[in-house]
Amino acid sequence: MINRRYISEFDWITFLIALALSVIGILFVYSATRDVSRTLFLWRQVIWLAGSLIVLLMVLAVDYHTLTEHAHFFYGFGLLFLLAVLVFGTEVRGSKSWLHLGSAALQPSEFVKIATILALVRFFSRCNKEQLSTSEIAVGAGIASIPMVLVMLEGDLGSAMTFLPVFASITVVCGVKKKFLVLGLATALCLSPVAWFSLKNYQRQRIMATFNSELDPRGIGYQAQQSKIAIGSGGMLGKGIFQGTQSQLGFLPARHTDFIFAVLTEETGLNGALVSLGLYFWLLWRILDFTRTARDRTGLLLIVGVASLVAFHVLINVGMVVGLIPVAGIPLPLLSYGGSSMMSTFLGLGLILNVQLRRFFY
Amino acid sequence: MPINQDNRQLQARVVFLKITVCLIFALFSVQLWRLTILNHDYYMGLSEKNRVRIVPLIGPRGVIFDRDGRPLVENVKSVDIVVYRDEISDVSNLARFLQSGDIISPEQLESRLRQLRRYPVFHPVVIKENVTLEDIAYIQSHQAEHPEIKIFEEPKRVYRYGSLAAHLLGYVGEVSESQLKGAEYQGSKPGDIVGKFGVERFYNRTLSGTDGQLKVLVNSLGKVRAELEKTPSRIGEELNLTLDLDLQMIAEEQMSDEVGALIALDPRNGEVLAMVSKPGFDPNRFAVRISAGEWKELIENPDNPMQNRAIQNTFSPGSVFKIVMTLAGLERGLLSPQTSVYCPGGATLYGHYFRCHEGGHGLVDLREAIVQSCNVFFYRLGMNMGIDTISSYARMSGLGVPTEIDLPNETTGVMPSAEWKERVYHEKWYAGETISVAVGQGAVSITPIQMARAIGGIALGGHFAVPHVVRTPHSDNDARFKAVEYSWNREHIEFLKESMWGVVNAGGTGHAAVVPGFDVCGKTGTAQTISNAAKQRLGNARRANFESNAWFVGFAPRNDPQIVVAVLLQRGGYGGQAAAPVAGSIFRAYYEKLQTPQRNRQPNLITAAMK
Repeated sequence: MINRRYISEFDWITFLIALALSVIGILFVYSATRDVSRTLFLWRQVIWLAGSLIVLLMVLAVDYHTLTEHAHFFYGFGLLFLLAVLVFGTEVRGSKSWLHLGSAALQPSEFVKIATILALVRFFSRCNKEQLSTSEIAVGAGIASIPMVLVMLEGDLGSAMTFLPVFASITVVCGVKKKFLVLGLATALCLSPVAWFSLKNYQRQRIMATFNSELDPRGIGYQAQQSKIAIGSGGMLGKGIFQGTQSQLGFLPARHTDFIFAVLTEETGLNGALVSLGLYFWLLWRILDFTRTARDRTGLLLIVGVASLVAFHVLINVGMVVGLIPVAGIPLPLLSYGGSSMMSTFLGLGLILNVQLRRFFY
Repeated sequence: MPINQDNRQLQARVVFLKITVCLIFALFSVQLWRLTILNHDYYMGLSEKNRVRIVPLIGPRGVIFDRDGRPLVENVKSVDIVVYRDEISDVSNLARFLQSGDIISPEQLESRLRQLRRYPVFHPVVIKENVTLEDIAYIQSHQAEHPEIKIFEEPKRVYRYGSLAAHLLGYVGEVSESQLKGAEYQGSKPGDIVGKFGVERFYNRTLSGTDGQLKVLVNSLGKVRAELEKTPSRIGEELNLTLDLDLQMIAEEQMSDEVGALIALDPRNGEVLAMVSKPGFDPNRFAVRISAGEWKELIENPDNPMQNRAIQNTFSPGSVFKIVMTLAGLERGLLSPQTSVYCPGGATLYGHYFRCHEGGHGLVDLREAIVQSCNVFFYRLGMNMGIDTISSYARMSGLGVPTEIDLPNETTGVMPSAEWKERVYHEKWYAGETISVAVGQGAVSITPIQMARAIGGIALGGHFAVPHVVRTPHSDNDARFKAVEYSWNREHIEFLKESMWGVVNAGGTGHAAVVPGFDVCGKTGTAQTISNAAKQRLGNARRANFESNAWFVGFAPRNDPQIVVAVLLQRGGYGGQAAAPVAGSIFRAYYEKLQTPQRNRQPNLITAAMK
């Protein structure tokens, strides 16, 4: 099954960009945790990276068509997992999205995102018309909203939102009538006040704090404010690796997970931040370019799904860290500490590289 | 799927995604530039403020010594609980925490924070002083939840001998908001401990230490990780008092159950050797921020323990005033040692009956009039002299004139004259009023320190030194303490001294003050606080409140006055019976110490300073 030819066709650049981001991530995870836990998180993240690379290889070994053909299994399995979390899960900082299996903790929602992409691709790849019909959009929306509602029930609003851009970008690429686009936007606008009032109090306050960071900087706006201080004080060149006072002295919350980008910017400055963002941009641009050579609709839609998932994570995470978006617990793919996030990102990248690998029909 | 599908239409739509990605990344780059470059200084400042905490190092106040170098006031370390206000995330949560640990009530916390609201926010606020080990354990075990609370060491004033010389030494306390507005405490910051009374207040600026500060690096839990910069504190200047601890101790003992004042000073240079005011207070109680209850108790005590009777309260001098009368009479030539008056036990003058000693003194000459304290003699002298002459000599002797002692809150008192009555009451002076003044009653109202200074100055033939309590290296030629000089007739002075010697040593009213070998001279006084007629109307029970004030003012030795002692006992009764023995014991103690060889009087070398 593994063709010698595949090795020459493998896109090393994409792989190396992802690997570089992961290594940068490990460095700053270490920087953020060395004070409290020495090398504990460093080695854990290294092991997660190793595991992720194995997952990547496994994904590459199987033709993506085989994977999409069995998408309903993954999808169904994923939903069961989410239900299990709701019943047996452990609560970590307000959201019940963790499943503890022995000493390892898994966040099934990360994997369900990939399973949902597969399911959406499997469904939409069969819609061959120029534009999607109303019923097709409705079915697709159904596929996306079941896991989304379950994740929302876990209390992980940030993760739940990621299903929206994935669904939206796949449908837009498949072709949507203008009236649907307009309708979609109008619905979103109409629902936003409803959403506002259905939010929990702390979530509303976080949103308020984004637009006014001076609002109670010791209380609800604390994270956002400390993150901005970390970034702003980094200046052009940063305070030096392991020298960031905001991160090393513990003023920055969740610094090895959600706020890793703030640690990076504090210690390496604008330069480091732009280099990392540049790598993300390069990665996204490159994989979106793969859509040109994708062999079929399935491959193209897979790329679109995964790319929009990664892009949305970067958007929300960096947006939050630089103080443009309310604080939502979404990790930065590859950089943030966390096995589930890293593994599912490599899983997604594996799918894209899979498509790229099998772009020619022999 | 055997062939490649035509994806061109879909590929075209991917452009939308690319545009979105470009927009997002452009937006991020701009925002990153704004934070790291445009507002870098602002965020750098916040970052510095986050990590740097300023720990004030309180400069201890200077140590106060007695004249022989024995420390009277020192400092010890007090462990306090402080709150860093800029670190408080939730005041009500903090209040609950402090309440449940029995540290401070929410109301007290609120008032502490309100009191110091104008104080720079990064400086800590003391919320409890002299805490117990339990308090410390409670704070430390919850340090992670309450990084804003810290344990802090601060020097605390200790008055080694408790209430000894409390009015002279004074006390310290936290500077009040109104005091901060005035000139006296210029340079003090809210929360500072300043002198509020006595020497502590008068020499506040000298005694005040210079605060230093320690800049430390803290983590988010408030734990100190490193010291960044240290400006050490400096202890305030030392003060050497003129006070003699030995004498003061005996004076305190003698006065312990009394209400009144005692002053011993060296008339030659004005150095105060002992100063007692009773009832007193323990200044150690103020060193800790005093509780409202204790303060109220002291303030509402009818005997005013917070007042320094030696300089703040005025009294009628009674018969002690006869010395001034005699001086004026001799100097003006209205009187000679040979002048004699017949005393039948009273006299009717200007239509009023003025009393003297029961049974009368018979025919008395001037010396006898002083020794026996005959009123009738001085009634007649007063009549002849008139109020303005009396007033003039009294004022020359410093009566009704501030002594300018180096202590706060000195009272001027009143030495009446015709001009004074016209100015204050817009009334003419009646000659009848002069009669009362002539025996130190009526409107004459002076402080015990003025009386001591007057007698000492007269004994030295018109050398009125300014009383002072601090010995500076230059105090002998300090312009502040420059003596007022008059050249009075030596013979008159010798006559006065001889008469006063007789009061104590030749069967006079003050024989209880006698010290064998040390020629004590003095004059007693029994000053009425209410007229005899009014006294008759009172019941026996209430009469006690209006008992006469007992005076004794004297100096020794007769030929070389070195010490003058003034004793005033309120409601003490007869000066000769109540006040003279007290003064006698002071003279005795001084005399004994004078006999002791110098080498036994080495300063006590206990290290007093807390660095």
